[in-house]
Amino acid sequence: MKSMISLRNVDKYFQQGPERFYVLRRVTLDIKPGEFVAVMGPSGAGKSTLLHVLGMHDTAWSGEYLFLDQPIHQLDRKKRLEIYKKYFGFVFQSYHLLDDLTVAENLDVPLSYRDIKKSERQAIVADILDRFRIVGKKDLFPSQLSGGQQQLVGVARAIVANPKIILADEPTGNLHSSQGAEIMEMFKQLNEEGATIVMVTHSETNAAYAHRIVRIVDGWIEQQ
Amino acid sequence: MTSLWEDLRYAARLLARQPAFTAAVVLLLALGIGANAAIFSLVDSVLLRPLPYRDLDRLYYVWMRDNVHGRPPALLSVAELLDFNGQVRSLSHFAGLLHQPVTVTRGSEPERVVGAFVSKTYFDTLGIPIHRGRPFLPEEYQPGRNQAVLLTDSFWQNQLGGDPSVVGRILRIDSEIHTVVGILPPMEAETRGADLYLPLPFTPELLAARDGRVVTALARLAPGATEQQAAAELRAASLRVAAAHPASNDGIEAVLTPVMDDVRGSAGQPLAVLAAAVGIVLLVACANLAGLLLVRASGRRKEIAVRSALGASQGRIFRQMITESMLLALLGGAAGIAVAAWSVRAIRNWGVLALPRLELASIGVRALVFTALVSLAAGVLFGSAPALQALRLNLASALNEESRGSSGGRARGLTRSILVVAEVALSVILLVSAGLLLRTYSGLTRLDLGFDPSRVLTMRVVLPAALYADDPSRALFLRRVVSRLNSLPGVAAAGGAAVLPMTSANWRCQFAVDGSDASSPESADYNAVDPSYFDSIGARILSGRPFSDTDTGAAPPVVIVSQSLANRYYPRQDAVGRSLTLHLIGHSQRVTIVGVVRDMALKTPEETPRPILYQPHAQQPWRFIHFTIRASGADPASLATAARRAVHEIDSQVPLDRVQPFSALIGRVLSSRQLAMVLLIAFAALAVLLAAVGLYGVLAVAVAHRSREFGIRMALGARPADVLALVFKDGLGLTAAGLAAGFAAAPLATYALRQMLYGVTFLDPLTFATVAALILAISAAACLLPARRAARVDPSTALRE
Ligand SMILES: Nc1ncnc2c1ncn2[C@@H]1O[C@H](COP(=O)(O)OP(=O)(O)OP(=O)(O)O)[C@@H](O)[C@H]1O
Ligand SMILES: [Mg+2]
Repeated sequence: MKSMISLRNVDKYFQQGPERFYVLRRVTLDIKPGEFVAVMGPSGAGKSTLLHVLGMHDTAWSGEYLFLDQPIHQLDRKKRLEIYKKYFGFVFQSYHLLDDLTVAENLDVPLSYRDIKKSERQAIVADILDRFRIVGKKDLFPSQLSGGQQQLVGVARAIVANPKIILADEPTGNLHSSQGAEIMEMFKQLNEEGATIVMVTHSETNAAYAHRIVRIVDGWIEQQ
Repeated sequence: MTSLWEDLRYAARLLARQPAFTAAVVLLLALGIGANAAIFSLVDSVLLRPLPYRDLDRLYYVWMRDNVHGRPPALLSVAELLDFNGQVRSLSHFAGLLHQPVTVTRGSEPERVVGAFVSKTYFDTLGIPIHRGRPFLPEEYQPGRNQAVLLTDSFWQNQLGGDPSVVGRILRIDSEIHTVVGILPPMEAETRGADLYLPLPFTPELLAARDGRVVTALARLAPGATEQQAAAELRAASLRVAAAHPASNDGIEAVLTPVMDDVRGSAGQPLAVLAAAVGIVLLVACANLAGLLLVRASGRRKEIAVRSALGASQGRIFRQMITESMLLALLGGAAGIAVAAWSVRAIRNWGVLALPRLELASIGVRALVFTALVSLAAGVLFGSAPALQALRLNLASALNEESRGSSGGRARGLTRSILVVAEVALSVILLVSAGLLLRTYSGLTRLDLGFDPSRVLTMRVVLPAALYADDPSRALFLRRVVSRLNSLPGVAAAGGAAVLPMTSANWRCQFAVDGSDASSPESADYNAVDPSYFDSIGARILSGRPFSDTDTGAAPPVVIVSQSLANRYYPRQDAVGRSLTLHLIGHSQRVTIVGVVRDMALKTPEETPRPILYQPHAQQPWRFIHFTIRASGADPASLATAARRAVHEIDSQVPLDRVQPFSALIGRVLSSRQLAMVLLIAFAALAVLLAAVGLYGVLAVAVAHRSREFGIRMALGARPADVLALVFKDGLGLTAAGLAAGFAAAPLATYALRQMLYGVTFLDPLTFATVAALILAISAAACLLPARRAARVDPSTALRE
């Protein structure tokens, strides 16, 4: 099958004084539609960086990135954003909930940026609150939630707009194991329904849910 | 005490370490405080600083009020001055003064200066001592022996080089020899603007003209007497005078007004408005600074938290913050004095006519004290918000802030937002007020004056009495000059008149129309003009004819009347051809109306048209002549040299002055309004600028605080336009709130302003709408930069934080 995502020789560095500090080195990676990929590696290896490149949050890199045959590295910001909105959902490593919005409002934000009617949006948010069993928290602000609960909301927000591909940066890092397992089950189900998933994790248990594990060390990918 | 010193040193060090911030704050304060200091020194010199007279508050003007005809109070005649002098026990002094231009001839050049003819008690009444020389002797007030003169200090300094040996020397005044008997002390706030003082001799002719009311009378309350007592005694004395001289004084009563009122005069309201306006500007500046310091203080939360954790008391922390604000305020005040000195110099260029005694305005000790006080008040005003915020600090959260990575501080953002709303509201008030004054002014400049002053050059000649003693010589002079002026190239029409509209001259005459009660004549403004005067200033003859060269002293006396005089006294009939009795300088004559001319504005453009009577100059040849020369080209000033030469070709001895375009006269009439308007516009612009900067600041900080939020939103699918819109919504929301508050408050301000308005109501919708549009446009501009920065937030960086 053809690749959904195809990275070719992607380099990413940070300039530190006269020196270039490489975070990604000649990364070449193919992900097919419907795949469930786990990205693993030591801290500081470049996992989050890779995910941000895939999620197009980061465009300061060199190499080629084809998404469904579209050359992302050549597209302008507007075009990229369109693609992103249509296909992607993102779970941030540090949740990144909006402090001034309630849980329900946070979940509504991605929907508000896609042409969805208000009434429909409310239904979708209610549905997702239900699915994550956080209906009782819907009017709380992020600062009133525990770290685990915040993460749960972050995951919920990533999938609320029904993305084709989910990029998740340690989605269970702060959850206790039973909650973590629940999230993984949910991912598994979404994957079976057709979603492609790229997930950064430190946990072998979680990685076991994936079809394939991509290991990354010092910015280099070790293909399996 | 030591801790205060430490606070000061610490504050100074902090400020020195942030030179850009400190400079910005000091500049801002300098503008705000400087404007206040400048207006204060105007108020001080015009309203507060006492005249150099002894016990100013016990000095009064005396006027003659006509209770029968309800005319405006008039001056006194010389006879009345004598009548009242000594009749009123509550008045210890009673004196009169008569202004008259005189010609001083030193060497070959004759020079026009202002002479003040004063009665015997004048200097005693005001309490002015004579510095050098001596006062006038009693016999020097006798007709024929009045060849003495006292010089003002400024005339002595400027014209005679301050030479002390002039006392006792001879000065040629109006072709007569006068001895300089003394020099007056410097009187910097003197309003009378005289160059020389001369004795006022009570000649039989002056005493006979009982209704020639030309003398300004001044009186001083006797020790222990009250104004009420004096007024009552004056009333009684008026009745006695009226009984003795019913022809001139029936129904006429002497009344008092405090000299102090006159000093304040019409300058009071514009100055009050300006003082309020600069106060508002300072408030806006303080709100702005409070916002700035709040941001800065929130950057110092960690420092303050640590200090508290180390045991600093709340009072100590408050004091430290306030010390810093005070230091800033004083620096700003010091810079403000420079701004004020510069502004006062700029404002002074408007000249004396805009505001009385404006030329005396300067930054003195009182202004310095005022500035220091205002600076300290400003320091408290803008310093207390950040200082109080420092007290409300929650230690634990402040110390942990970084680790939580929360944007936090909603309340802080709220305070700043309220400050910006207040700034916008205050600027709206100023803008609306300035807009209304601008509309008033532009309306006034476009009013139809009844004549067309554009392209007209004016100049004045006062014929020396000794050289032009008889009427025919003066009439001939005028006729010859006008015909020479008319023959100059570039002159479309030239004419002459005794007085000009839009000057402070106010010539009145009395008249009785046939069939009315001859014992109570009507009064009208008066002028004597030559046949081509109306043509030269573009005033239209509505019916009848203009004067002609045949209306000479030998011909039957004729007059031309203004439209409103004709309408009022000859309603629904033709005034032309009617006769009336004209009373002028003590004698009466029958005259025939030969024409009706359009109404002309005499004092101010917006006045209601007044009845005016015009005589042919040839039939009443005054020594005072204004020439009006209409240029065929655009620039009347270019005719000045040729016109001067034309006059001097007829007579090289006559002094010629006030050579200026007619438009300059009108400009001067409007100058006090122009001053108020221009300053108010400047202050409003300053306030708007500050408010825009404030709004920009709030948004810039908010955007910086929210960059993570914007990053997240973009990562969740927001387009740059969505983020842009978020910032604009915030910014314009604040603006809208400020506009609403400003519009709610503005009518209160403009209602207070309504006496200064003309042709526009205090709720003028156009002005309000324009201000709204302007404010929205300016805030949109202020939003633009932060909004674009927000839209450019790079999600990958923002999300890493
Ligand atoms: N702005 C930056 N400037 C310089 N170096 C950076 C910057 N951002 C990230 N890095 C470096 O890039 C490397 C990769 O970071 P990245 O966040 O991708 O690691 P990670 O694999 O996600 O680690 P973790 O498992 O701890 O989340 C790290 O060494 C980090 O220090
Ligand atoms: Mg990471």
